[in-house]
Amino acid sequence: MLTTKPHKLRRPIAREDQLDLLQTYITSNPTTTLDHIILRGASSTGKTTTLQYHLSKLDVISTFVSCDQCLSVKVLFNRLFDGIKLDSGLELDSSYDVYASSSFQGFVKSLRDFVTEWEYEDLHYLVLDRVDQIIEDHEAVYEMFAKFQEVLNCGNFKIIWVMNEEALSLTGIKKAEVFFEKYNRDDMVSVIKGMYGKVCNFPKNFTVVTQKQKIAFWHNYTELITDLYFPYSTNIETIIRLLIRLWPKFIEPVITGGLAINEFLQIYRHNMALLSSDYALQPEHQIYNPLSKQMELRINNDIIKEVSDEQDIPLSKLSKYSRYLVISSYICSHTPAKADYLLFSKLQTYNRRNPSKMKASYDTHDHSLHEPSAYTLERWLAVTQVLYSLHYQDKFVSDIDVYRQIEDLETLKFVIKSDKGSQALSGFAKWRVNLSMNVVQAVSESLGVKLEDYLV
Amino acid sequence: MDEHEYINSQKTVYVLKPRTKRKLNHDQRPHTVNQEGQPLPKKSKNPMVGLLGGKEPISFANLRYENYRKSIKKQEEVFESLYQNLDVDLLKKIVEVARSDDENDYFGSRTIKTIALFNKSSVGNGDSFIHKLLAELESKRHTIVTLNSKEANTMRNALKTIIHGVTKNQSASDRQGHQNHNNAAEDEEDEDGQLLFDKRSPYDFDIIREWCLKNYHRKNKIMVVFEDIDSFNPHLLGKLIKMMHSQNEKVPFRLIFNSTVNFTTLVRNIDVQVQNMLTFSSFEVDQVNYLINLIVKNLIMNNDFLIGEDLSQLITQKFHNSVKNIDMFDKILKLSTMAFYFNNPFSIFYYGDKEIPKEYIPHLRQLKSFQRHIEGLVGRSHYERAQILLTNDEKLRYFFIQELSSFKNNELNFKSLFRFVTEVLSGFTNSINSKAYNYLDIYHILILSDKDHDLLKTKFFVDILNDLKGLGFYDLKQLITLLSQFQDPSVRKLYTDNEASLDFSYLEELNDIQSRESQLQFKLEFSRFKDTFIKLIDQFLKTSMKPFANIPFNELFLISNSQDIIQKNLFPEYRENIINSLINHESLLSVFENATSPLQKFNELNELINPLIVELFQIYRDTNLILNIYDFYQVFKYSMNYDKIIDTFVEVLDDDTFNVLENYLNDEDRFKFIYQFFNDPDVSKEEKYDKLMLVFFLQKCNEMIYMGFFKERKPKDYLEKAVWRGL
Repeated sequence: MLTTKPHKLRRPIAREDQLDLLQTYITSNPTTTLDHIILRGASSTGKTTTLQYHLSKLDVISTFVSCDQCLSVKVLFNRLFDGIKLDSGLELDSSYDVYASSSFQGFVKSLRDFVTEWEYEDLHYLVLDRVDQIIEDHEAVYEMFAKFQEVLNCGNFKIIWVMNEEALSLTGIKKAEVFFEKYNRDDMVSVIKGMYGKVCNFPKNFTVVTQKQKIAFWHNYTELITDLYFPYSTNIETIIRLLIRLWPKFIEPVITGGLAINEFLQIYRHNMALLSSDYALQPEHQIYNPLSKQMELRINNDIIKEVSDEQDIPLSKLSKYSRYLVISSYICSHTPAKADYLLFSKLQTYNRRNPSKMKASYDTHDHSLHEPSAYTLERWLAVTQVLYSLHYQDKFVSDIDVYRQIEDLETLKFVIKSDKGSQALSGFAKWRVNLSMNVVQAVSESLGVKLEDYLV
Repeated sequence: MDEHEYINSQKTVYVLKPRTKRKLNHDQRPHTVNQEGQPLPKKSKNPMVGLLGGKEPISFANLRYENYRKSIKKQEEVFESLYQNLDVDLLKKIVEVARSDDENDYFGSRTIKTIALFNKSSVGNGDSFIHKLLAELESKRHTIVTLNSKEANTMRNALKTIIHGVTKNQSASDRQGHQNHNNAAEDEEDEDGQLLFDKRSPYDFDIIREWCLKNYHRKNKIMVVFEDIDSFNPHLLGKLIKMMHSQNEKVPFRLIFNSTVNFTTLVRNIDVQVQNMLTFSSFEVDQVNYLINLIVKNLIMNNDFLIGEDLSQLITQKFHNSVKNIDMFDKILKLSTMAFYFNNPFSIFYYGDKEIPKEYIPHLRQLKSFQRHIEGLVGRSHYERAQILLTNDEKLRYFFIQELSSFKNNELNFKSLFRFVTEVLSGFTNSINSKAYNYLDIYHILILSDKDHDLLKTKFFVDILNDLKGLGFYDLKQLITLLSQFQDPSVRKLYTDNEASLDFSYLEELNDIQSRESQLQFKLEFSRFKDTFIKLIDQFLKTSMKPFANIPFNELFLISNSQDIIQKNLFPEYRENIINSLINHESLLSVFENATSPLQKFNELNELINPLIVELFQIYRDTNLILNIYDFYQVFKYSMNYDKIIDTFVEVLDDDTFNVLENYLNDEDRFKFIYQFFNDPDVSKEEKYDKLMLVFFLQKCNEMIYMGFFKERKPKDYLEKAVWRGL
């Protein structure tokens, strides 16, 4: 239950060299097998599949543990121990279990007890799959299991490490290493071609064409998509995802009867727009907008387009006042209070549109590099008011509503109250902005405010 | 120089004008509204006042009250039905998506279905939706686990929360069966904290997997709700999702992201590899625009009285500038309706079933719209007509009835124009949809009535006409069909009058012929046809209604924001309010009237001193930007009427009836410092006064700093005035 027992598997494609090596290193004879075998290579290069295939051919006991599902080493011990018990087919008094997951020593002790009690001498492979992806501290795993046989003093347990990157902690030990290079384009195509029916399939009721035609279509499809996206990713998993993603849309003309299944070129042309868009690369996403229906307005694509257009501006859902508050909070945090007079005064002598004059008197550091400084509520409101009235004819009315919006901005963590003790609306309260320059810039552009004019 | 002169020369403070005795305004009673209304006899249950200086007949006042109650009741009904039906469809849809099974995909580990909820900016509103959703999901027997970024700040905590959340939700029957097992588990956990009975860590995901094998029902999913997805650490989130994904084969996880940003921003925080593990379905939870539309359609357009230009301006602006809040909308409408019926004696004549009494007529002449009308008459040299209206009551009555019917007529036209725009035109013009005009915005555009307001000059209608110009044949055909089915008389008239020129059957015939010539012919004819149609619409928009402001007496029948009543009551200005009440505190604090013996002394003291913070604020208003705290104290002390205050104060202290100081006997510190001090005959009056004022001063000064009137400056003995005008 805990481990995945290798089942009957098909022979992996394009992994002949590696299989040969595995046949040499992993045998059913404990005396000719090394204590450690490492399978290394980039992710989704068929390491696990090849190993599983090989082990299924071999008549040995093996225990698989996926380390990426283990939060910590303790969980790993736990699963490994349970797996060993299960796979060996022997039962043990559960009193040992308590130690097994407490520490490495506990694990080893329990295992030793297990071995002595049952006089267990069968060759047993422990597969630490994706060992470098354990969530906490994989170096510790390396160190512990590198000395595993030494500590256990028992030769029948062999460790197979499956990992992406070379582990320096394992350099000192006696080991055999099998390297899995990335698939090249042709290998990839031949791997994927064999997956028809598992990856994508025609709908069950689509029986107009023969199975042979369908498979021919699938072969063409894989060739096409692999060619198109191979420059984007050489990871077979990614390519398969793209294949799955594009499949329903791609076969649409065939299903609806618009085009025959053997007119592949025409189908390709028909789908040109789909393939050249980044549809496949976007996360799978459906927008439900029940409102537009209820509004009794006609639904067309424009509504959805509009929604997505609007989404490109950050914070576009905020009200106008809130957006001005955000901008002015950035200004307050990044300009000294004594510059307010220069920036926001109505006196003509201090022309705020002459930045060179102002900059001369202040340091010419890039303001966006500074840590935002705290400012008082009153100053914030004042700057907002001036900013607002400069860009709009009407007055910025600071009533109860504005304070509510300030609270909202705080809840959204766009601004942070820097002294926690004081109340939000007291004159004492100090605030600071918590948004990056880019976001604020985008917001200010959407409102037609030139942010640079107000930063010294 | 003698001593006295010397002290004087060292003074930094001079008090020039000692305060004269305050006059209390005892006349201010509630219930008299600018001498316009008089309270009704106490017997009647009507809380309104008799208007027209009390000359309004009681029956009319009661009628007014009754109308008001009807109107409010209707409003409540509309809102109640709205709230009941709110989100129902949306919830249904989300639940449907959540419970749907996933199709198997090659990877065995299927993608996790993720529901992304996008809320409006106001956090409060979004929360209530999430609660509703969770309750709905729970009622469908799904298992729900809620994570928030503060509690689930590490991987272990997050996993623990999920596992705990899932296993504790075991159904009662299961619990019965595994009672011993569970008890043991809990005990073990209590002792060790780390290990469960079956020696597994509390963050081992296998626990969930096993639980699911035992308790799995196909329809029930495990919903993991991320309450504040935007605040989650992306790294942690990625790992957590990977972890869940690895178990997805056996464990039916569904993720619910509650986000306040948009989809692009949400996804940007998630690793591409992790994105591939998820299938998003996003829902806009923000239904405010839809609600506003319903309210405008069902309530405002259906009400006896429309809302006026200024009120619609206020609401649209409010919604534009700040959070769109339906409760606020409700409140504004209620308050304005209340104000409308409260102070408008003419509202009852709208229905035309009441004869207008004589007393009412002269008041009509005070209306602004009537005065404008007279000005217009004078401008056009119709002196006689103007004189008749100004002097002859009977003629005025007749004029009023005439204008009322013209107003009603215009109102009908307005309503049908509104329906025409929202129900017919909006479907064919992108500009309405894409600019996200809601019905309230459209209402506001239509009712706006500058003097020479021309609907066709507004951007809104310019856009609409432009859009119409770009319509294709089938769209136009559909539009005309809709138009022909429209029932409102004025729009109907538009169609029937021009039925001949709107006949598109010959165009259809032309379109059906495939030859090139006839296609060319068709194009020509079609553009001609379209031009005619647009001209008709153009003409219709121009003439369908006139601005309400041009109709005399219009203000009597439009609910308006008279005297900024909405602003003053619902959106008070924070700082201004504080300042105003500090200046005119009498209007807020109750005044002792007819105070008899026991309170007599207090009352005297009250008349001598204003609330102390008011006194301090008076000085604050007259000072410079920067002021010395000691000076401030001195001015404060000397500006008070020392002799009388201290005398009365001591009398109050000595008075046995109050026992002010005796309450301090039980408190050691207070007894020592206050009781003894004030009862000590050796301490002079001046000193007592000094100390008293100092205490008062420090207390109130701090209050003012706290309220933001002052800031403390670097040399500690100075204060800086924080003056931001109008904040």
